[in-house]
Amino acid sequence: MSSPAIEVRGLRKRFTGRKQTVDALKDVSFSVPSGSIYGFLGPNGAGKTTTLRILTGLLQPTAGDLRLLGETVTYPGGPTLATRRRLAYLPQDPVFPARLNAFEVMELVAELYRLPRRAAAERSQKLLADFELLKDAKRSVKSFSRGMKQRLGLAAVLLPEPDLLLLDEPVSALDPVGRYEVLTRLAALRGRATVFFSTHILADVERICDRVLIIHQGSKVAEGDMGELLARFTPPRYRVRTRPDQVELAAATLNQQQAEGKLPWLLSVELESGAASKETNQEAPALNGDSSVLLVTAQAGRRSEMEAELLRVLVNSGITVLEYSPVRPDLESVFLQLLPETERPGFAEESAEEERDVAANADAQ
Amino acid sequence: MLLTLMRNEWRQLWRSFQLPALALVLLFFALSDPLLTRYQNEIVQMFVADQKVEISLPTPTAAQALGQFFGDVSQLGLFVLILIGMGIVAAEKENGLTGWMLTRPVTRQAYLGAKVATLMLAVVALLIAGTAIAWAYTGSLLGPVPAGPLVWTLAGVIAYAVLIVAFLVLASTVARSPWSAGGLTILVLFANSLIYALAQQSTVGRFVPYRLIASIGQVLTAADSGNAGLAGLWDLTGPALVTSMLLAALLLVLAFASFARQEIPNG
Ligand SMILES: Nc1ncnc2c1ncn2[C@@H]1O[C@H](COP(=O)(O)OP(=O)(O)OP(=O)(O)O)[C@@H](O)[C@H]1O
Ligand SMILES: [Mg+2]
Repeated sequence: MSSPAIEVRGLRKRFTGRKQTVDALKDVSFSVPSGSIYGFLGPNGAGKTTTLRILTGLLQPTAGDLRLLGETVTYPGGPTLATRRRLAYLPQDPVFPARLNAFEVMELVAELYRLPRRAAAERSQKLLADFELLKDAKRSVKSFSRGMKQRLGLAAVLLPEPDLLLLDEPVSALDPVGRYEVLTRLAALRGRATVFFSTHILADVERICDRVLIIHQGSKVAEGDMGELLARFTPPRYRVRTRPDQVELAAATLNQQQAEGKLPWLLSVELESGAASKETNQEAPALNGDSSVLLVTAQAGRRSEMEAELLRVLVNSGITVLEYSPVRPDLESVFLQLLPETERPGFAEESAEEERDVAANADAQ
Repeated sequence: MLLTLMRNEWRQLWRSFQLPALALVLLFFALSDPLLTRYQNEIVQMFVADQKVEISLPTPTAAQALGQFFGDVSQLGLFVLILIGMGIVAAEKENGLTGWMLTRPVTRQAYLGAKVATLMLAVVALLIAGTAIAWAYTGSLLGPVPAGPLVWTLAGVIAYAVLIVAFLVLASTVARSPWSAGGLTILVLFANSLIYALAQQSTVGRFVPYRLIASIGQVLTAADSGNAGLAGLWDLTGPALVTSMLLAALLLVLAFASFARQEIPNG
């Protein structure tokens, strides 16, 4: 279990069509450690499915070196039979041989992986039960809903106990409970198998992944340890709750001290609702009941300065601090930071909002 | 692996009613053609109500009944076979099943091989069974047919069917959709009979696969003209049979070679 489960160097993929060519992957390199849970992120059309199809040998790379489970993958054809016995792939839209029922699908998979018959039958039964498919297991798979197909796909992928699982958006069609259960189940494989899965859902990645790869328009934008990535791309931030009548004072104090050059690390002070910023000292936006929380953000890499000064400054100004806690950074903000500005969701709304603010300020003056 | 895949393929062909349809077509002709041939004169008489008109009709023969059977099979049976075969790879590539299979521990050769073997075996078995039924029924209605010519005709029809399956497999492997594979096959079949019509009299004509179908009547009645010996039968359709088999092998080699290099964009 020492060499990486997946190693990709300089992967390129160009689709040459009659009308246009698409560079779906442009020089992507990454490495997935054995036994890790590895998240593969990117917006629609980023190249996630293409990468997985190349890894499984369905598509051929235009350039690049790939190794799976220690074996160099050659094309056309992809991974050798021996390697393929050790891996399992779940496509984005699972399909199964038409006119088979769920039992027969599991049986077919067991035969293709040459699993011992009795043990495989028992395990199939158990997996179908775990994925709540037992009562529909004698029904033609064709009549399954998308979520049921995805669950059957997962059961089929887990059946041979593969060393490497390649999963393309494995929980996209599942309800919240199903999603939680599947993620927990995948997380439990840590150390025993490598799970490489693509998704759009940052919360899922955050919940179970050790490492992540983020691609955008065929290029890698980030790769690395989850914690490191979060630390690197999300500025340190503290959540400060004061007495409700002191929120404005607290914000004003911080902003003023910064203006005086005393808090060089300070990036921003916001009400938790996200409505106000540095300019809280002006007409405060309507404060609702529980808006006594400030989010204080420091510039990247200046956490310790903030930790040394923030609380002291507030207390010295006579502010009663009721709660003071670090905000856990989330992948969402990393992701959004990495995307080109124009593609960030809400980009249009934000700028519209800014304009409105400007107009409001002009009115006030 | 091959056996597992073949079993699965068989199950698919059967449950999707593709093989049953072919079986029914064969059974229908195996029963109806001998019967219609046996009573053809009576049927004609029934329609000619005016009994005073004397029409002299030839007595139906067993060879005629079987000729009718093979003729019908090589038309409607062939049509059903094209409908089955055109999607054999193309349909699964479209719906993502090929991708699913090839990402399990299944080699491309095994995937395609299982499909080819299953369809060929099924078609050959059904042809043999259908012919046996037609032969037995014809025998009971119209008397026996010499075994040699019958077996030789069947061999020719099987070789022709194998060639068609091979072509369908290739077309279905390279085409973008089942329908273009089917269309391509029909075009080629048309060209096949056209070439035969043009080259019939020349030496080339003896090697054109369509001769296997065009000469069914001649082979079945070979005994009447004293040609029912091995040499005589061979002379009639032997070369066409050999070309068909060689061509089928070539087409399959091409299909496998192409499939091994292809990208499977769905899956
Ligand atoms: N067979 C193909 N022919 C041409 N272009 C293709 C083909 N398959 C994918 N592409 C293009 O490659 C790019 C990457 O597609 P891909 O399916 O890998 O994205 P993805 O990250 O999986 O997106 P999603 O999140 O929507 O599933 C897209 O621009 C897509 O249009
Ligand atoms: Mg995708």
